[in-house]
Amino acid sequence: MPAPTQPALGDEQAFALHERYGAAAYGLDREQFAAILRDIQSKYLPLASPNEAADFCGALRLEELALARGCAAGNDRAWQDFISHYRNKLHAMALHITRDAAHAAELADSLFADLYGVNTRDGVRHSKLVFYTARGSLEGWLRTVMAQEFINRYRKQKRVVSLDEQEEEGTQFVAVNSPPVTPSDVRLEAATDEALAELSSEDRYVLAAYHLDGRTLAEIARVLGLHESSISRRLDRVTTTLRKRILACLRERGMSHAQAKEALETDVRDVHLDLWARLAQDSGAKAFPGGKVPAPGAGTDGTHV
Amino acid sequence: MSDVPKIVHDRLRAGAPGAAHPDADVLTAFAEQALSGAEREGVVRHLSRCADCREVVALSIPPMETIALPTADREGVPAAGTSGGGLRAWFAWPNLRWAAMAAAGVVGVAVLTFGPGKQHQSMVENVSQRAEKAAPSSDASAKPVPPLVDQAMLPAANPAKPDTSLAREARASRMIAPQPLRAQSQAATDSAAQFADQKRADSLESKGNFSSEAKRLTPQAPAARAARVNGGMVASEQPEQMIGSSRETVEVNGAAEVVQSAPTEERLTARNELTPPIEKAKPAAKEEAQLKAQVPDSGTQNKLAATYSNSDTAFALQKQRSTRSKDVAAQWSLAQGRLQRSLDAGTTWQTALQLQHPLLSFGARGSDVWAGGQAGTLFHSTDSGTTWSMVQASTKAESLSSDIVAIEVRSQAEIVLSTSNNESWTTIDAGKTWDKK
Repeated sequence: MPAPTQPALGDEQAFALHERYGAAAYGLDREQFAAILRDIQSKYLPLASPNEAADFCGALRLEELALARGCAAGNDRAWQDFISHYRNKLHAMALHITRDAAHAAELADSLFADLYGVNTRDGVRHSKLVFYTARGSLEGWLRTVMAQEFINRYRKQKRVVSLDEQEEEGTQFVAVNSPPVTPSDVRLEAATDEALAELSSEDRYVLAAYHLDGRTLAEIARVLGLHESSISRRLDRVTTTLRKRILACLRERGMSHAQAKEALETDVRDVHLDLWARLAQDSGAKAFPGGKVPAPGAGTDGTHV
Repeated sequence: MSDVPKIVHDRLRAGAPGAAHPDADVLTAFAEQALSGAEREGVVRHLSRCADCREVVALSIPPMETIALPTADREGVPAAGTSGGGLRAWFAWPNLRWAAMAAAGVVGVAVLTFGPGKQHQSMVENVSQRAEKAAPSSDASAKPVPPLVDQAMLPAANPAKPDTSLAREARASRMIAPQPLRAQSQAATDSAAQFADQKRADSLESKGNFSSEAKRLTPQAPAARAARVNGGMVASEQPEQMIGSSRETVEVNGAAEVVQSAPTEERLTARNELTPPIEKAKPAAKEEAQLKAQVPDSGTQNKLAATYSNSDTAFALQKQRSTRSKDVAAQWSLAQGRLQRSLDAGTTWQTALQLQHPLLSFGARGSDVWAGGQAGTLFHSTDSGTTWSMVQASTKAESLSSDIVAIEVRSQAEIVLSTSNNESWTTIDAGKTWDKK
């Protein structure tokens, strides 16, 4: 039988944190608080030494953790504090995310219900605040949870299209999605994958956020905690490096420089074909010289008969 | 920004996230720049391949407009972070680089403006201002109750230069010398430290920003010092609480006129015509002189101290009034959907509030400012636009979702909003509860 392992976070340290951050005010006793801290520490830092565990727990937002867990446990004072601090903020967050007052109110109320725990299991109310682990601020966590909820709702609603709307738009049935166009040369795909794999995670994130998600430089900069100009320079550098690296990988796969450049630059999806100009060019002599259409009853030279 | 080939878009999109999605706590900590190196690297790696989590992180970044005052100089330079890492981002090198350049510029301007030669010049100008100001005082000395001249307004003169009587008076009043004529002799041999202190005070005074009234209002300043000019006799009286010991009297005989040289006087008078800052201090000086003139000449020291105390209170009230009038003087306007503020009667304007969507209306009363925009967007500032808070106007039944086209600020608590669909929303408690009509 294995000997019981000593918890990384000692009782004394946990009790000191309990007292220091006033968890008792929200109805949490020392043992409960210590158990919560050990759960969080074992989740994120399972193999931590006692010192590492103490440092980790000391860096958590313990005051907000006590508030959240007090709310989850149904403490009245905790709920009073939570409502006074976060009720209005929830609406403001929802408005920022949805950009629509009606949807914002619906989203905020829905999240508030989840936080309160309207769903009961075995007669016990389950609050979403149990999942808050104080790695970041409670306000930030609420904003993240709300963003997740908003995306989930958006996806659900996106799948549902009302028949009335379809009829109004004249759509009788949904067209089958066309299969993706495969590149003509698999070597180009492999070379691109290889070049992308050589990028650092942050460079790849910048590339994806800018080119795929359409984020602005300012938004990316705020996420990464950098200045906008740094992101701009990095994006230029990554784009240039990536192009060079893909060309090099294509040459390694047996292409000449000209072939590699042609393969990269003449991808069929990069060709901007002006069909109108081409059609006009192929039509030979103009049907109506001068661009004027003769009026009915007029002669070939434009004079009335 | 140069574009990448389409194949790169496809391959970026095709990369599937390797590990499970980070939970909301980790994403929050990442957005707040609170993760350590290895953990942060793991989250970035996941984000680089997971569009869903990128979307969540982008949405969970707090809005820019609720952070603080978007002033004109910060316009167009977005903050790199707001909640957790905001402070760190502000002190990041790219920002400090500009701050260092600005500081270097300020130092350069300061050196050019307050160089040794110019400092002396400004000092001489101040002396000339005092000289002209003191002229009516000397004339009034024949009256039974002579007016008092505030010594705090009088700068010391350069010992190396010909001294003026007023400069000597000023220095004499600062010297705690019980013996008569000591101030006069001390004035000629003033120590370097005292001169440096006075020089610094004079340079501040000469800027004009540091007005003599403000200086007098400061309890630690030698505001209570006053000298009576009476037929060539200069007496400095100080309340007990200022010097702690006893009333000090300094008498300077009329020999002051002897050392005054005519060329200096001419030069000072000529300069005085070009120095308007003293005009700003005149009303306050007159008021103080009137207050102090009410004190009987033979009054006791206690009466004098009480009068000084009252005069300080009067000036404190005046200062409060001027501060209040600054708030009231703020002018507001909407330009291109931005709320702009002017603190100098419309000469210059700063952007006080700018949102992603244009603002449509505003209302201001004193330091209370309300700004409304599209879809029920409403912001409120209680400090003349320094900080803003978002307000959601809603009743129990519904929230305000239409455009706010007019705001009427009837009082600090009573606000009326008019919307584009002819609704009227009223609050009588500064936005806490609303009533729709």
